[in-house]
Amino acid sequence: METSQIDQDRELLLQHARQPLRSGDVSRFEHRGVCKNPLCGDAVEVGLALENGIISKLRIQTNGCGISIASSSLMTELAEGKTPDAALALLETFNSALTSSPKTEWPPSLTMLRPFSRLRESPTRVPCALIGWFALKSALKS
Amino acid sequence: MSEILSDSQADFFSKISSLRATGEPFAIATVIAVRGSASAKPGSKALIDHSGKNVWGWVGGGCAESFVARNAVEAMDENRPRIVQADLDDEIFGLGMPCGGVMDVFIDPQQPPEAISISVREDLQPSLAHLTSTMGYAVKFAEGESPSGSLALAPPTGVTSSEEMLLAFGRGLADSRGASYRSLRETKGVFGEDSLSSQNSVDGKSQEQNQNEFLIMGSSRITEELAKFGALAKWPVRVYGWNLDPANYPSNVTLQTAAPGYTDLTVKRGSVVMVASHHKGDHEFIQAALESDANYVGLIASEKRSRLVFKHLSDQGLSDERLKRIYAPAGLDLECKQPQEIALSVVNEIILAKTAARAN
Repeated sequence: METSQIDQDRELLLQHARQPLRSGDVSRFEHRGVCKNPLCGDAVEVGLALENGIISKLRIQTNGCGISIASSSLMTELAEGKTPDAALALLETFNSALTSSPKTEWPPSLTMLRPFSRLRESPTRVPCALIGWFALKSALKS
Repeated sequence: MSEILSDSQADFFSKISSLRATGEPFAIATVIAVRGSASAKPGSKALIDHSGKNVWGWVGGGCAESFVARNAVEAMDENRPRIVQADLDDEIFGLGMPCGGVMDVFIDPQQPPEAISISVREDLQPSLAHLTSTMGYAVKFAEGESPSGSLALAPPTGVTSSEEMLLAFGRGLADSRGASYRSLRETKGVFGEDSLSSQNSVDGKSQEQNQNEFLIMGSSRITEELAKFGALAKWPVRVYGWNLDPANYPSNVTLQTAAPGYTDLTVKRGSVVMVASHHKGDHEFIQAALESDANYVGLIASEKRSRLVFKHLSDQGLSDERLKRIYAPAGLDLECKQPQEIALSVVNEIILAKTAARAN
């Protein structure tokens, strides 16, 4: 039996939540940033290396809900190999997309993040999806 | 054997009291329904301060707690209660907690009392103290004035009568809440014409007749508050209803218990009649008021119920001309939440209608 799109989306995000990509020690990185949600206590720390103006390596340490971990995991996949400006542009696009109307078309540049488009109908969870991205921004500014 | 008593209810009210004393908004969150599995149960309560921090009680932990806190902060900002649904089943697209249930939470924001400035003549200051106490407001004394003395709020200027004081309070309440202070009848669009002034000029009634008794029909917290404001405005007040407890009414108000079938109902010509009976006897009361040539006939009701009453009366043969005399829904828009506020909005409309009638 064919699974529905929402089931596929949920399954994908659950995989990332349970086994986040690039999860590991961030203490050895020169560029580090943390973002915490004071209301729920979720926290994501990002460590990264820059080589020739490119984010060459990323690691995350997370404690939080499934959405915050899954989003942080996918963030590492999208940001690694990009320039800081390109990564930050993705953050801006993702932020705008999450706070747009559910009827608005999801940006083509965020195809990998499309499962999060369902959060537009649960705005209280939008900060969960952005926490890893803001930790990345903090690390890039460090 | 030792007896251990739960004092959580007393603790709850004591915490509310201390939060009120801070002068900051806060919210009461109450679980009102649970379907499936959730750690909190119907009746579970939490108090959330203006920053979103849970300072007493519990309506669930983890993401459920932060979800309720975030909604509480928004409800405080909007000053509107809300019911939110916490999906505790879907780990990803719900609240991230796969407990297996859904929980409905009622969030009731509590604001510090609005500040209203009224200047009153000295001899009206005890009346103002009575009014502020009825409305649940505290009087702030100007610097150098003693709370133990008279309520010297302002120089002896400004408001010079009880009716003006009631109007000033009503307008102040509306302003503090951003309410329109317009007639609900106009806002709701049941009937848009002011009937009192035109009726008065058609019938050529004297101003004395406008001063006839304030007849309140019904029995509820609203009729109690209406009677208090009527007495405060120095109107002769009669309440016609049932289960009327004299302890809840000013001593100078006449209480009349309705006979079965309302056979003892009389309405003096030129009276101000307010039907606040919550649909019991609405039709009979309004018909009697219209037949007796009351100066003002008001009905406290929703737009829908007002229409139902009008339809019934119209079916009984009452002309549109007569129906247009009824102020329904009665009152002005003050964003009312409490019975004393509804009563104040109604009394404000009556005073404005009387003033308009006198001007004509």
